[in-house]
Amino acid sequence: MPKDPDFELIRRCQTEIGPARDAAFAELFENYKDRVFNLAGRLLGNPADAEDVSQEAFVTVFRKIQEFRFSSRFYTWLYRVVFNLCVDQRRRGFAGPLGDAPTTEGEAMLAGLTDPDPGPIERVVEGDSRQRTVERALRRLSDPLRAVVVLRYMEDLAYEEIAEVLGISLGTVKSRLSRAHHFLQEMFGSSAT
Amino acid sequence: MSAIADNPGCGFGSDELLPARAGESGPSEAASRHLAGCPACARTLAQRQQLAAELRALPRLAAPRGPASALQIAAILDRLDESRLEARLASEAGTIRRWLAALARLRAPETLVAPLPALQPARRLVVVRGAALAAAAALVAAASILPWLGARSARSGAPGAHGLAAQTAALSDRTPIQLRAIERVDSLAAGPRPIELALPPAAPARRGGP
Repeated sequence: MPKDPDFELIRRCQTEIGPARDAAFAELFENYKDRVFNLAGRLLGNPADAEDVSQEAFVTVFRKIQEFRFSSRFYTWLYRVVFNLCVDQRRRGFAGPLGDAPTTEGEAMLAGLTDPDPGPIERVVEGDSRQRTVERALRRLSDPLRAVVVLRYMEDLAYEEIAEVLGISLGTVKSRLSRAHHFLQEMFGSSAT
Repeated sequence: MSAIADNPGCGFGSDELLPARAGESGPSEAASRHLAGCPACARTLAQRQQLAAELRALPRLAAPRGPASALQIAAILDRLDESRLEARLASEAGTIRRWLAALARLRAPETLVAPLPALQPARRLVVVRGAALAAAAALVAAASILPWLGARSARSGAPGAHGLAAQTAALSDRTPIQLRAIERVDSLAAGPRPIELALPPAAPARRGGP
């Protein structure tokens, strides 16, 4: 396996003490906070929950960083922690289902993402932007399918890395991705082509 | 391989059409050969690539930057400090618990019973009571024998067997008051002693002195 791009930083987190270690933690946090929040936000659909889960993920990872042995990439470990925390959050029922009835906060989060001034090419049927349609379609995916799509297309992970993050087989990753494609194209209809 | 065939009559899995690894630009060599002769799969690939591009183009959610946000490094470090403190307290509490457990094991009944774990409780009680009775008997026997041994030593003239009064009388010609006082203490401590034997030789020795 190629050397982890975060190797030196993680080594500092493991070997330094006091302010030097805190500085290494801060650097690692700055490198990954947006990616972690994006993953949690996409999986939970609620910014407040995503914020809490993100903080919990960093605390968990930093607390256990001495146990990290570079048997995998740091970011796959971090994503796995985030994913597991999201699953726990959903299981506790705090986040509520995404599906067809998104929360007000989730809608507000998506509204904030939408291009405020879409061009004519971006406009699709029903007066909605194409981007917003894709966002909604993504939110209507089941949790397992959405997780695969987000990790594949938004976080740019390889199939093997997705399998590692989600704790599933490579074949399951591919079949979920294929089902997600089918579902999304059905939702888009001819406008997706 | 878990490929799902999308196009009837084709049998080529659509999940084989996209690059397997992030960073790769297109399908595998085998998939490319198939695509050259299969318009249906070529159309599917085009749809998938467009979908993938649209998903990749979605804006990323940016972590909140405000000071009130929970996603701040200071808040995370505070929580780490708290957890380190909790771990330290838990460790110290564990040490104290171990000390208390060790102290609890030092209680007499358990100490006596500890070497006999294989016995039934009733048996253990018998053994413990027997040991206690034996210890008491040994104490009584010692209390009875020691005076007898002291008297025997006195008769044999061994040094120290006469007690403090006798030795003092032999070595000193001081006043009888001191001797009496010592004799009294000696008599209280060790029972009847040959006091008369110690006192008479002391008086003539004084009279004949300088």
